Amino acid sequence: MSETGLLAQITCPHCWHRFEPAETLWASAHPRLYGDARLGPDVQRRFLPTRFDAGGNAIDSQGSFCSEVCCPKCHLVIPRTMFELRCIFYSILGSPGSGKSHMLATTTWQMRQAMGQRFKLSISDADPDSNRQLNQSEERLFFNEHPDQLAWIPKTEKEGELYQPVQFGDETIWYPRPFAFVVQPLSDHPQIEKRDEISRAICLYDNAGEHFLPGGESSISPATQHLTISRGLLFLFDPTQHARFREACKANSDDPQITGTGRSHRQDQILHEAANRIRTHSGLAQQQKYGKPLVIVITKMDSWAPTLWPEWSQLEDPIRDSKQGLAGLNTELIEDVSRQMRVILAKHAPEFVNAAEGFADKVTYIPGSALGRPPEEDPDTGMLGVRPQEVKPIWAEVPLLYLLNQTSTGLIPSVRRSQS
Amino acid sequence: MSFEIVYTSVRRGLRTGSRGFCTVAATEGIPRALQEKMESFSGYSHHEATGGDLPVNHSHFVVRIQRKVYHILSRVADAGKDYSGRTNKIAHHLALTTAETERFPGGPASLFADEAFWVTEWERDPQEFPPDRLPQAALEPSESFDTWEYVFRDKGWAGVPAGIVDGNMKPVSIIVPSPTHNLDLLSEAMLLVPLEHRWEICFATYFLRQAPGTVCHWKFVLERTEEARRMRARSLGGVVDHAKQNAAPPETRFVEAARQCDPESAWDQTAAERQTATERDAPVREFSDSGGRGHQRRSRSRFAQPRHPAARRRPRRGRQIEDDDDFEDEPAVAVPVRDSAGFARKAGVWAVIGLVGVAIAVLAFAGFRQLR
Repeated sequence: MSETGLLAQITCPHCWHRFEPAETLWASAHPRLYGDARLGPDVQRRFLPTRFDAGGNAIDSQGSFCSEVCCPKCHLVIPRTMFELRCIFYSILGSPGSGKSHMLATTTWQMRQAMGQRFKLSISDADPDSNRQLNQSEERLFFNEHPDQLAWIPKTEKEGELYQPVQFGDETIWYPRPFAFVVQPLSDHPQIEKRDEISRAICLYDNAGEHFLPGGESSISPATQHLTISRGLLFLFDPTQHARFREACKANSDDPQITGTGRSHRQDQILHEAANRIRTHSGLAQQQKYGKPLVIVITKMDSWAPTLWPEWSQLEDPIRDSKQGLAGLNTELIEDVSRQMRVILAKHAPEFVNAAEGFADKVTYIPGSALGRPPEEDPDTGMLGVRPQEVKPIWAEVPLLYLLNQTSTGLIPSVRRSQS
Repeated sequence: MSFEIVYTSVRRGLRTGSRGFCTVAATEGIPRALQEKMESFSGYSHHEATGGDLPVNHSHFVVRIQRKVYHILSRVADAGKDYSGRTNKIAHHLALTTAETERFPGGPASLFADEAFWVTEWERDPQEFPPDRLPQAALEPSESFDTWEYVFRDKGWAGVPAGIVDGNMKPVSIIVPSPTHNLDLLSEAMLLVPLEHRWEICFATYFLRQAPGTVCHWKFVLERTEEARRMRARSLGGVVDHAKQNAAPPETRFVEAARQCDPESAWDQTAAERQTATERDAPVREFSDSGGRGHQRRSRSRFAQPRHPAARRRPRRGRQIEDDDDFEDEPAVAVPVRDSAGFARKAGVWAVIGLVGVAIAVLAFAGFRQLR
């Protein structure tokens, strides 16, 4: 951190280019200055400023005061907080239909609830415009005006609103839109004096599952390159897409995802593909293991756990309140559950455990359910939906809290399980 | 050679291992770069504000890929649910070279009338299409401009988007209350555009976002969308807004032609003006046969395959041109840039350098004489 309060190096959340603050471009503000070489005629022109006002904001060539800062490579707007707070990138990956969008919407919603009351942290959108899609998903599930009617989150596309086009010469490159949050201590946090050290910007991506399939990334859509700079990976393993899991649960379930056919997917191949991309882009040798945490989220717990893991009904809350009033994460409990999950996975999907542990040094298996109940089929459209009033997430926020605990000092503290 | 792809969410795509959103059908031998470009035009938003009537996006864009210019016609629409019980869409894209567009003098909108050609659902196995599958261009709709009158209360509004061919091709945003009539609005407005300009017009009947490197001249935007709010707040070109019922379109001959239901009267004036400009301006003599084409239009030989004006221009010198006709279409996709300003700046700099040089020479000469 420099004397100006800015980081010495900034990573663009759109194109992952690293640059110094002095290289930052600004978006002009004057209505006459429209048209940018990278972003097209409808966007305010980007420029390297030479004049600033007393508040440090750039002044464009027409004398207007500017406020938006942009990446010198892709010209897309970067939230200002990312110039001041250290940023942590996490990647969420999984096969198509594994529940990434649902899990992400539920995780952020649950964290918004828990962070303030229990961890004494505030969580806010770094850029509400960029997070719009995610906020809409949260609203569909938790803020719906018709909570008794079936609602669904649209299937994530490989193109469209979640991607931003940037022109490089004749080529248009489509970058995934990041979801950025700012987490910082509230005034009653015991370590409020260390606010600058503790505060973080968190950046997440909601890729379409198709991007992780072999050959799913193209030269014009480098949608998964964030894998390389991520501080940790969340891989969503969907047991309802695994033939042996489905077979084992069939007799005891009426979930259409279990009883239906043709949903099987080789999820170990997706993990292998992600591993290959990380090795290629980061220069990791084949014999080297990935040193950052890999969290395998075993999704849709409500579907498979009643049959394969009866203990799930007594699953404790891993967030524990301490006497000091600040909650912590019971990492012992999470690691204990992880060992149990590994046994179940090794029995039904040994190829997947092999793929995960062959790639990463530290693998943690965490079960979760974004909705807490199986989806229903809409009699009119045949689509799978859920009634918002019945959504009760189970451990949905735990994987991300655990990653934060493992990768950021002081933000989410650990607590030990009491002897009783 | 034309190329097409069909893109939707399926259990098994055309390429080995692909599933979910992927290409399920493509023309044999389609260039990879063209396929990727067409796939990137498949974005669709399942918008809720339409009141159950999900929009269909009919679009036409001009792109340059590996030194070739393609006109990409697309139909992107909702496709119910996919194999995993989630929302689905289906996109059918057709890429034509400039030479092929000359087979459709009615313009790009006329190709969407062949409903049997455009794929609206996909329940089959992946397949390769044979080359040169093309839609049949349908006869143009009646020249009544009734749809414009129904949506905007004044037929004359149809003349506003068409009028851009007379000016600098500035885009026009058309804010509509529902997506139901967009294709009719498009077809009717296209009637006002002279035949030789029709393939220059890029449009989207369900406009979502401008991709850099492309130009969209006619943007049909749905009421109650983010894009409509943005257009009302600020638009680079004109805005035709259904909410402004009391406003009247500016009086132009296109507006008048629409009100009179006589689109060709606007063409005739365009041709006449071009003829005057041709006589006045020698460098544009290459277009001096426009009067002849005007005569063709008056005789309603709309499908007599008039040649695209771009095809008459000379190829550029000193460049390797793979496909002369196609390469010459480049100006159609160029984003307006301030080239003239840059040229003026450069000329100014050279003039200053020249003056300084002359001054130095004079001083040197004077000094030399004094020394002698």
